[in-house]
Amino acid sequence: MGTAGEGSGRGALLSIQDLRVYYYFEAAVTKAVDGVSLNLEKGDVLGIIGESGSGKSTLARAVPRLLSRYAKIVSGRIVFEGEDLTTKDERDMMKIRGKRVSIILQNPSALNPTIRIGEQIAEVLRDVSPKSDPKPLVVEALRMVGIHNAESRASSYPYEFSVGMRQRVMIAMALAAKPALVVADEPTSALDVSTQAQILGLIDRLKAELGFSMLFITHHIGVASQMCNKIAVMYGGKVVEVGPKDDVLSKPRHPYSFGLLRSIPYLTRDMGKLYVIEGKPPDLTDPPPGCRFHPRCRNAIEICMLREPPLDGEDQITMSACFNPIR
Amino acid sequence: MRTSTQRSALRVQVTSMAQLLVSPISYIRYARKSKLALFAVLWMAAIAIMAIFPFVIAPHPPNRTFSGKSNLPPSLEFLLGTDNVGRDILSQVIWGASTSLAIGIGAAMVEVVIGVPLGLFAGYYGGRLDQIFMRIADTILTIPTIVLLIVAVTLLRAQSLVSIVIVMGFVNWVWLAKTLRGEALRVREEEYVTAAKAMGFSDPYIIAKHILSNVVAPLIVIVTFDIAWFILYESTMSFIGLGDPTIPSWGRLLFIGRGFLNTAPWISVIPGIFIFLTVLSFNILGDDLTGFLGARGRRV
Repeated sequence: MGTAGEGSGRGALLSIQDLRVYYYFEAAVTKAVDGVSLNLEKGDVLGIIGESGSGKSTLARAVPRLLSRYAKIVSGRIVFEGEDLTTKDERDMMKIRGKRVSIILQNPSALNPTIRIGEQIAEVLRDVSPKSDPKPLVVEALRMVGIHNAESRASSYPYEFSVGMRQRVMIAMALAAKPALVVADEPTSALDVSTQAQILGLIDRLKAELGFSMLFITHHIGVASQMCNKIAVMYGGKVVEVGPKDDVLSKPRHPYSFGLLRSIPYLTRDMGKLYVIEGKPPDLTDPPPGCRFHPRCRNAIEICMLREPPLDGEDQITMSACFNPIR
Repeated sequence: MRTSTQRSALRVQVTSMAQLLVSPISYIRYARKSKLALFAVLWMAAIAIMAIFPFVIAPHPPNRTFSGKSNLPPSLEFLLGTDNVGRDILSQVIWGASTSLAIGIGAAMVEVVIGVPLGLFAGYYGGRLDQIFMRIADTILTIPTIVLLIVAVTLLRAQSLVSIVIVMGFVNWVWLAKTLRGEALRVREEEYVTAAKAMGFSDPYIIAKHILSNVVAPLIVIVTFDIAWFILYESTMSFIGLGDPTIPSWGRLLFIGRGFLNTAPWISVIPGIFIFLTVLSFNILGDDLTGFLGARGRRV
């Protein structure tokens, strides 16, 4: 690992280089993100897909350094707008969080239940520009995310809003300072399908209006294919495949991404029995040697147990980490 | 940057104060459903009126003595009788209401000023700060409160109410802080705290706004119970002769009446009833507020 990105990451908005984030809890060390390198150009929407425990949420929260107290960035760099975020102190991070890098969280409980919606947006606006009166901007922000009667809704409490509306408010707060990068950590996973479609449409429209770039975390491949232009597949704390959306989704080379895509049921096709990836995700406190996927891999050969496959590709645009890829 | 956050934290305090002024109205609407709670609210309203306007309501100044009229039982002239030096008990009880309330609220303010920030910071940050705080709190808790009060009042050589108020507040902040620390430990794991961090807010701002707003319910309940406790303790201090002898208070009347329980029981019994009903009302209110604020929490 580590071959990807370091040279090509010069002009990128966000360049994650060989990042390792471990959780230290009691005696166990969980290697949740273990040597991840990714680049995000301006205007990109980079989707990170993977199953639960693949490290995608840890990666998302590592960027604005919002990791839990048990997690530590062990090594690697997170270069954002030319600056390494891993070396910044809290005071400098405060100036970046919410202003240059925002995060949209999955859980609609990310709004304070005891404070009115309008005030929660206003406090973000006050933090951005302390001098101006936030009230008209609050109404504007609520309108921007498609909330009607914005003036009266601003004095509602979060429990008076539906889950979808709360997610709209969260998006309004995340975008209030017009950040360059938005990290969306499963922004629609807690929503029903029709609300999900509305929220995705909203994010798409706002992206066109405001021109931010995105790191889009999801376990939903359909959502990723709708929202993203680049996709990275994570497995066991590592990126196993990355590239333009169409390449990864239509010609997956890594057996894991191949299996992941084959295991989606389609209503329009008669598929017979659904494809299953045998076994269970690796224990990241004690990951298997060599390629982390080899115990479950149908293509595994001897070298897979011995050495870690590097993330590589002929054009350095579409890359996969496999000794015996699918052709 | 920093000053702007501090300024907005201040604005938060002002807005939440405004909200607190509005919420009693909705509480009274809630309290109407329970006869007991309604009684408590009405009794406390009466005490509050006595405490604020004693000079209007009381028939006499509290320390005025009527010569030759000591230890009189209740009559038309002195509705609740007189004490051993001929002072009107009704007037003393009315003036004593302001003493009791001032003591209860004053000591509550002392404990809030010390206990709330210490509890919230310790719970939010955890780690070494929390450890130091907990050991200090545990040390204070090893000393019996009444002993601490007696020693402190004696050492300060001031049987003044101010020193009693400060000492009571200082002894009691530990309980408040411990409870709020636990609450802060719970709230800091909430997703909205992460979200607030993600917006780039500082830790002190998050504590003042997002943690505090979610521990207001237990805070109000604890302080309500504590006011009752403070009123009771002031009476205790006066009863054992450590009160301020120049200021009319319910405890002072208890202290005086102690020697006349056989001949003039009303001197002690009447302030006793006032103490009983007031402490009871605060406790009923505390219980009822738990339900009221809890119900508000559940709607979330």
